[in-house]
Amino acid sequence: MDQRPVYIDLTKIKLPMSAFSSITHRLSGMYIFFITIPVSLFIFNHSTASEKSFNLLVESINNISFFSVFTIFSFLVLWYHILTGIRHLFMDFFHIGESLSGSYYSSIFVLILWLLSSVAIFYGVYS
Amino acid sequence: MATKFSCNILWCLFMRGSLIWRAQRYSSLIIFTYFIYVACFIFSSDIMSFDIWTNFALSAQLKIATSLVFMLLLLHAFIGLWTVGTDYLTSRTLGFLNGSLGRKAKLLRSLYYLLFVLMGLLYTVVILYILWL
Repeated sequence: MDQRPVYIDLTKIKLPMSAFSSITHRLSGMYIFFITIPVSLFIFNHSTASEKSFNLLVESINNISFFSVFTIFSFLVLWYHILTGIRHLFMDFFHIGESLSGSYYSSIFVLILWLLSSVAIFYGVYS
Repeated sequence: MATKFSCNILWCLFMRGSLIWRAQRYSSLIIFTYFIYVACFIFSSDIMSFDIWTNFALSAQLKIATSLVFMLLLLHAFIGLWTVGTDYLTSRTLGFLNGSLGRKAKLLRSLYYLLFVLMGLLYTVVILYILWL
């Protein structure tokens, strides 16, 4: 009767797309709490402190630098968390996309939407 | 015995799974609305100057909204971080990586809770300081 495998090597199991979406939602949540929130507090402080610090901030974000890429990436992580979050809310509230294929395609859709919008935002800021 | 009983009442009132589940989902909707509102303002204005930005961000309405939404954000984050802690920082999951690590799971989880609560309090002090002082 008990046909379940006793030994499971997790490294040999391929992560399903829906599990990828779920785990990256959690990881992005951790990233937002520990990195994006301090970054946005820093930006909010400098953008409202004085006109000089506001102009310096706008200039340093518009030119490619570590600070600029890091800041935009941090906000894109938040954007990814929002997109996967909406996907989860559709499942939690309306039971939409809970099937195996539904969750697979919605994960792919969210990932592609995020990648495309990320490219668009980087292009929009730096060009 | 009496303290244990009162703790149980508090536990039943606030630490109900369904209540926490709803609090996280509904708070996310309010935070999302706030983000959309602020993002629409930033992306809709052609020229962004210091005066336009501070007139918007430091107006009384938005200062109140930001403070309230930040509290909801902390609630949302605490629930999420707590869920991640109870899922992964357990003797079973950590013990999967390392046996001695697994035996320290409860301590590590408590330290992790302490860390994010302290970080949350620090963020609150900073945002309220920037907004109101």
